[in-house]
Amino acid sequence: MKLKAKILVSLLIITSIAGNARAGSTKLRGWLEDKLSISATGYKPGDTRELRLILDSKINPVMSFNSHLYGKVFLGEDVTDEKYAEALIDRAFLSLDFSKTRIRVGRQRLAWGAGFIWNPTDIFNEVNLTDRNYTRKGKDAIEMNYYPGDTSEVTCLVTFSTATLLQCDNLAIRGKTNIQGYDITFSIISQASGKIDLLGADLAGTVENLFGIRMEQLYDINSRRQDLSIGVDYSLNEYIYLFAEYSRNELNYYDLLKNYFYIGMSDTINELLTFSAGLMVDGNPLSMLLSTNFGYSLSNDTDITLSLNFTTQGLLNTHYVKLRFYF
Amino acid sequence: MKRFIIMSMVIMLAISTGLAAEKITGQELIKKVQDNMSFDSLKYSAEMIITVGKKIRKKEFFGYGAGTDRSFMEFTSPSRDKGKRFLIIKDNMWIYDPIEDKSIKIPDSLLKGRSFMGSDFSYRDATDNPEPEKDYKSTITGSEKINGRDCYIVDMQAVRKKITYPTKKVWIDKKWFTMLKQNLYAKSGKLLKVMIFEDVKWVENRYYAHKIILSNKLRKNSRTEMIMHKIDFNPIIPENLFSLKRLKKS
Repeated sequence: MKLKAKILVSLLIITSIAGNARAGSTKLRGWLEDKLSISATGYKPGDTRELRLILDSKINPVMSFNSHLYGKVFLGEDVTDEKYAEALIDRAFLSLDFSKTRIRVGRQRLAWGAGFIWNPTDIFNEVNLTDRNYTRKGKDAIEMNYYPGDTSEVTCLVTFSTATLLQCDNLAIRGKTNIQGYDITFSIISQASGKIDLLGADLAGTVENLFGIRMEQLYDINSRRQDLSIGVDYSLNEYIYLFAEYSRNELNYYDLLKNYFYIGMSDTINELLTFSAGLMVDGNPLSMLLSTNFGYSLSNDTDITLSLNFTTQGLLNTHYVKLRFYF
Repeated sequence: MKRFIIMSMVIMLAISTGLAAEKITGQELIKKVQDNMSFDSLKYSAEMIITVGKKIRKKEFFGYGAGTDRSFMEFTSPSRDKGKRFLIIKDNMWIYDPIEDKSIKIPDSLLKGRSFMGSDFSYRDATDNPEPEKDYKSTITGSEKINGRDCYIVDMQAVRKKITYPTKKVWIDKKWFTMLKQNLYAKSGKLLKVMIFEDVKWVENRYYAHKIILSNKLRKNSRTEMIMHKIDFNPIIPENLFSLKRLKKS
């Protein structure tokens, strides 16, 4: 981000806090998280300390400002290395809420898609494939939502390149509605070429009141290729939730393999203790990743997670403990 | 003489009222309880206290309801759950995750029985609003005292399939016509949950329990208390509250 933009965003935040702190309409929250490898030899390259500050500021009944400030220290790197730490304004957007319309201007999360694991239509925000719990980075955009009904929504979107200030890289329009209990969405995306490049659609609902189904597709008109995900889920009982999802990637936005299959389960043993496990299979050459997570709530605001991950390659096995404190 | 006549009328009235009360059927009783609990619209703030062994977790939230098929709920604490919102319109439920800034439609398969926000309530307990006088055949089977209050015991058998609890046993206060205890059973007859209703207060022409204690018999050493701090019946509902727009409001 250019210096001018950084200054502008910083000024917005400071003005927002100063203008609203006295009225008590600015709220600050967030979390501090340590992710540490299970190792007897000190910090490893993947070990991190992360701080996320979330600022919600209500300027008046129509206007609000939201921002996420994010900092991360890579504990396994050398302090003098430039990779040692990163800090960024992850989100900073002004929101205008009218009766049936909302406009958001600034860096924001554009969460498109109905898939549980893979979202082919979610092409706007940067993704981290090595960490499923990663919160996606924001995208500079102007988004306008119009709500013709309680369960329907029309979105017009302009996104801008992160590298070059105010250079448009996507124009999109999306329609969403609920028919017979199914959420159905269609989208058209032009990647600043002046013509339609991508068509998207997704669906989420329940079949026979028995199992959930989710489908999502992104089709490239020019190359006639597509990204696709299909998923089902089922509650075995009050505690155990099972889900499976298949993903086919022909467009290869995120350097993915062509086919993935994921099967997982989560078990809420009680309010304090959770367990989840997932097996991801990808093909050619066939490889598998088994991921298991044990979560425990240490207090109302503190969670600890033990994550054990095994791969068929063996050498890539990662086991770590994550401690997160919410404030 | 005049005093005698008045006295006799009072006694006769008391007897006839008592007889009428005794003659009430299970179906009528459940209808009366349901009428007592129904509302055009509702606004509340509440707290869930979840106890697992000796550990206690608290969650605070507020919500609105309209009719039998629309409700909105937002968690205000703890920090981990702050800003999570739930929207129910008819049989559809959406959850909003403030960190991902995304609303997700929750499939019915998840609603079926999953724990609601880590509590002993399931999503279905939190969202289900059946019409008990239509969904169950209710029969008065006896009387018993609950917390010193005289109650009817009513057995309820579901008359349609795909109902969360096929059998219920409820204790209904004879004067307040409000539920003081409820046992919920599986199809097999196994006791799943016990609900105790306490802190009954007179609110806008009805007796309303402000505290529900739920013991989940499938979980060891676990119980959830739901405490209603404030209830307003028929408040002014904010515009577009029961909509996807409000779900994602900044």
